[in-house]
Amino acid sequence: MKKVFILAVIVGLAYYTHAQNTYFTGMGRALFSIDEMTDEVQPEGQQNASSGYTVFDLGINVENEGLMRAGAIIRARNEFGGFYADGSSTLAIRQMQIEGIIGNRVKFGIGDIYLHQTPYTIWNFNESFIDYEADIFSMRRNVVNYENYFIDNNWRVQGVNTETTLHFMQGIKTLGLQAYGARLLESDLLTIPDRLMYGGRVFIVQSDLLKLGGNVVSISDILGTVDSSEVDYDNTVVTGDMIFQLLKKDAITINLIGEGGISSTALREDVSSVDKDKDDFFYEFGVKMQYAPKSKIGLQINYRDVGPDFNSPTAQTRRIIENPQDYSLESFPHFNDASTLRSMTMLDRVSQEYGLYNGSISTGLMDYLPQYNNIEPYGQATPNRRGPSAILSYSDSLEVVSFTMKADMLSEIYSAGDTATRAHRKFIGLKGGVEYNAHKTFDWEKEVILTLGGKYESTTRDGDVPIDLQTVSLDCGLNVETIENLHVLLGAKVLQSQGNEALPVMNRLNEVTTGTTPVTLDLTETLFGFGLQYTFSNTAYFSTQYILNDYENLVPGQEKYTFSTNQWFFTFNISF
Amino acid sequence: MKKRYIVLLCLCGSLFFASAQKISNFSNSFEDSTQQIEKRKYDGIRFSGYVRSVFFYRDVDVYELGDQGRLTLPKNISLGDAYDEPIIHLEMNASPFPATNIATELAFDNRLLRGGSFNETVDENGRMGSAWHMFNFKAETFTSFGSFKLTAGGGVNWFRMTPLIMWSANDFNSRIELFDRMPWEYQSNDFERYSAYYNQGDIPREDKVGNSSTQGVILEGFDLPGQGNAALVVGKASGSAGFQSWEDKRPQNLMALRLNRAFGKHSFGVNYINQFGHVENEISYTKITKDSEIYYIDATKISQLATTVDGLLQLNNNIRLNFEIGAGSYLSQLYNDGLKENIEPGVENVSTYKRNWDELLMAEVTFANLPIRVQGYRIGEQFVNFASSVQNTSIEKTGSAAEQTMSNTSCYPGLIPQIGQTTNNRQGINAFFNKSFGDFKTHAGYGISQELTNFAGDVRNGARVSEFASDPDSATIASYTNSITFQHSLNKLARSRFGFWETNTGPYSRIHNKYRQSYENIVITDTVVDYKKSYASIELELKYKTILFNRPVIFTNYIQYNSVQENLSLIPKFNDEAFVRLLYNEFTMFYNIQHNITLVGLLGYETVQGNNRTELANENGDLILDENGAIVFDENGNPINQIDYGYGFGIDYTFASRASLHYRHRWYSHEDTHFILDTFKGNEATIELKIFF
Repeated sequence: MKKVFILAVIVGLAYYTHAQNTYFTGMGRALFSIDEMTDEVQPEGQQNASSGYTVFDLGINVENEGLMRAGAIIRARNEFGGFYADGSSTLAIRQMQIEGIIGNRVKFGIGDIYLHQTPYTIWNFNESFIDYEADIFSMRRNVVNYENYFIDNNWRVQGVNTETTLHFMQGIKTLGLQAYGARLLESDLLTIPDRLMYGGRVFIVQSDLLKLGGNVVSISDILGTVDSSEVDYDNTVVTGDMIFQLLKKDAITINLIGEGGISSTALREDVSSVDKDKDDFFYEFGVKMQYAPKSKIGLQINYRDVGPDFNSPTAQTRRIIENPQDYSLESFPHFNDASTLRSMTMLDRVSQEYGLYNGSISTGLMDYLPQYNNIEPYGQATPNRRGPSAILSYSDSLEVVSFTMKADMLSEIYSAGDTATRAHRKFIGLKGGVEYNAHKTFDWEKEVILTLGGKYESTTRDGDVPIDLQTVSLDCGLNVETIENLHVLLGAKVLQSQGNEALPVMNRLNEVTTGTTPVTLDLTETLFGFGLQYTFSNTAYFSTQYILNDYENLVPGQEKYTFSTNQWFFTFNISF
Repeated sequence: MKKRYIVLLCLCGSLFFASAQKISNFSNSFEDSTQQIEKRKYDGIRFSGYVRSVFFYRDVDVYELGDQGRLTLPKNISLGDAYDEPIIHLEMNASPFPATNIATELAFDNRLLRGGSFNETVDENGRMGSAWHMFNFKAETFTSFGSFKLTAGGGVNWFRMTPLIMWSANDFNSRIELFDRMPWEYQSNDFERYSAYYNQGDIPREDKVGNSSTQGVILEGFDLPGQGNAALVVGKASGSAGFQSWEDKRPQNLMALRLNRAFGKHSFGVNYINQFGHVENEISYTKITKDSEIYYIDATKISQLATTVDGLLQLNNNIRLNFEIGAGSYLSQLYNDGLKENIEPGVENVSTYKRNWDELLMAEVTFANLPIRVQGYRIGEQFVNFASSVQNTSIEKTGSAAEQTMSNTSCYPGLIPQIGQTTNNRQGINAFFNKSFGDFKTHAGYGISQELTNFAGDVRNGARVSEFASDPDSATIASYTNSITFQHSLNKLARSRFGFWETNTGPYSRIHNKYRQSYENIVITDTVVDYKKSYASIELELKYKTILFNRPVIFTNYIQYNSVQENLSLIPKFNDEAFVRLLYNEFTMFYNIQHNITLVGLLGYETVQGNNRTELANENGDLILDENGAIVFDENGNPINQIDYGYGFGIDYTFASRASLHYRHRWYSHEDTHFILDTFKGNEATIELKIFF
């Protein structure tokens, strides 16, 4: 009904503004895969499936002289294996937006809006280290991101966003203001109230030397929207950020950067008689240096302290769900005994479009799997972390080689899960990657691109509940253009995780109340893929791939949870 | 605290709204989820389609009506013809970049509060919107190796290769009478439709007639090195794993390949198709112990495989030979040649069953200076390919779902083919003759064929037994395995709507309905079977066009006679030597009383008679069975003796250049003087409004 209403508004606006221009955007994709799986739970058999779909998103936009634009994306989809639309076909409205400028001054957007601020306020962080992912896998991940509305670090919400920029003649150069409001949770009209998010950002560019920002984001339950609310949740995060140019001389630039702020959370739960407030703070500051005569060399050194009770749901919500109770695997969710749930794999993470990713803001810290990200499971704003980080980067002027390396030496601020000896976890992380455009070195006309990425994580703790978890992951890819526009793609991922963890069990206020869940890991995941990609134009391509995935569990007693999958994959994508 | 923030934000917003300087207009910074690339403002999308509203009325006194959420009551007032054809059909086509194309067909339906169990997208008010037949993306590229065209998607990707590999699906291989209007009727003055039939013998039809429906990817290459062409299809075909396999991700897929090249006036091709997969998602290998070793077999693997060579030989200026020759195989746990020779023990050496192969041969000779066309074919019994034009008459249990041991509605045991149709387990000859004598046009057809193996006693078939015996022994099943399937040519659309896509239905569980077609299966009760059933058919069509009261009128009469007998007979049998003999006569008239108004009339008659060696009815009209449920001979029994009538009239009114109105009213009756439960009588009417845009 709401969508019908918004559609009516769009049509109405189109008439009201005497629309001058109607144009279309579109994305079409045909995708299908043939999958097989063998496992050790029932080795005398296998599982097979073939699935896929054809989808077309038609964006209809009505624009009036740049002052008003109304847009809707209509989706038609048909499943692979559903001929003549026999129950498999859907028509849906994927997105609705109205955008315009009020009085030539304030830009606004209504409907589906995409928001981000800073990594501690609103930030949809990537769930793993993928900057240097092989093309053969990033192609799949792009589909996942598209289907889940993950555009950079934005969260997609439904509401209104306004922003304006002021230019001044003296004192300051520009001043920007943003204000927004959105509904995060819809009332059930009985006990769950509407939950709203609202906030804003002020950004001042005093000069090239100094840039200051102020951010506020709040989440509130609106109790009046139901007769008897069981929950009343309020959270506010206020932060300030700045960039101060310490030195700019010739090719050298040195900036001081930082952000700090507080969070205030209140929760009232009738069911558990919980009525608590939690306040905490964070700060992060550092120096960012860049030397760029032609090539760019960058070095950034930070120190951060994120309090254990610092609570910023719009920055700490994970985009991937890793609690087996909450996600559902599309491809072979069970072993061949039809009852034992299998583990998530790297292939699921890069290819499963629905059921694994999260599109809503969670006020509680979501569960996670330590083998994939144990140092920053909630992004840069992960609470209960303190310590330095350093980032080193390089790229030459011709973009032949670029690399990034990041090191973290963090520790807990309070002991999560060790109530007796109060020992703290220590985290050492090293991650980075390199992209090498070999064709530029040898002056080849056709592209030859090598990517290599990796991550090492170490988590240790002494005390009564000792922890020692070591995880290494590698990703390497090769993209070779053979005949014109025909690319051979190769990629491999390896993840090895050994040791133990004790994951804290938290309540809705993120307090460790019921101890920990011990986890023992000794697993090796490998993902190997090869395929072809033919690009018809910049935005139209076809690709076929064969992917091999092995998940080897060597924990004593769990060896039977070892399994292998392989997949033939075909896709055609076009967008305009 | 939060109220303070709201007030503060409102104040700030008001302040800057009032004082802010003009900011630049947005260009393409509109953040939508398709904006992962730089956008350009594309406005080249083209829309076309039609509105087809069919008001349907039926009043029938019928023996049995099927379910399927469609026409479940004798009296019906509804919208649509009950076959999910859309009320609004919208085609969208775009070519955003050179050599690329996006095409979708969207269907919108309203069923006047009639639900659709078939299509789950119908809402509580009977409305439906869905992606329809065509839903694909195309891209072409031109290289020094040749040009390539890629089609991906589905909907349906219509495609064909050769008749034995990929051709028209069997739902569309039968003759269709011209009185009924088809959903895919194109836009024209309606008398042109009848004139086309008069002049060419056919009317324009949509892609699904003559092509097979696939999903997935089609890659075509043209002008490849060596002047060859190639086509590769990877995906699914509707016949083998199409309908609703998306629900369980049924692992059944298709790969087909064709390479062909011209050599002067001649051309040759090499073709391959394999529709392969498993009947279930979870597979447990079958263990076979042999010589104290355990062997593991992937028994649920199924495959419809064929490979052929085809050619066109211009023998001289007057004679042309088209041929296709090869081998085909159907593999399943019921149809195989046992274990492979080189099988090794152990789960790590999982094997599949060995295939049975059979021969494939089709050939056609045409003459430039003679109005004659002659066909010959021999198709082995182990060849099943639902993507081909060959009807399956030998293997009932080809179900593509987990219940593989159930019969498939695409099997027509012992089918009497229409002249020109080919079936497996059969060899035969067809001949066609066309000649005009002024305004008088004639068409004659002749066909004889004989099955290669009589499947009598093969208890893998005989699925109809389940309607009469809950736990039949092999002898009981065997009594159903020597049978004949014939097609009702008269009133078949009306018949098909008594039970949609059902087999073994009707008062004697022998009706088999498909898309707009209706068949019937009759068992032969012989206990000693040492013959191969033979088929003989003739048809004659006469068409005459003249002027009546200054307006054109076309008269047509089509007559067809078929018989099935024990021995090969060059001439159809007209007596009780035939197990079954079928006569069909159809007279139609199309009178263009004004340029935009055509009157249509139909008179039809059909009889089907069996002999005493086919299933019999007792004096009460009950099917004669033994105590176990086996169909048996009884000297007091009487065979089928069916008489059908159909007559109707209609009006075509083209009231605008792209809009027309059509009325049809048909009365029909059916009775069997011996199987007295097999009777119905009724009438139905449609008013169709069709507007193209």
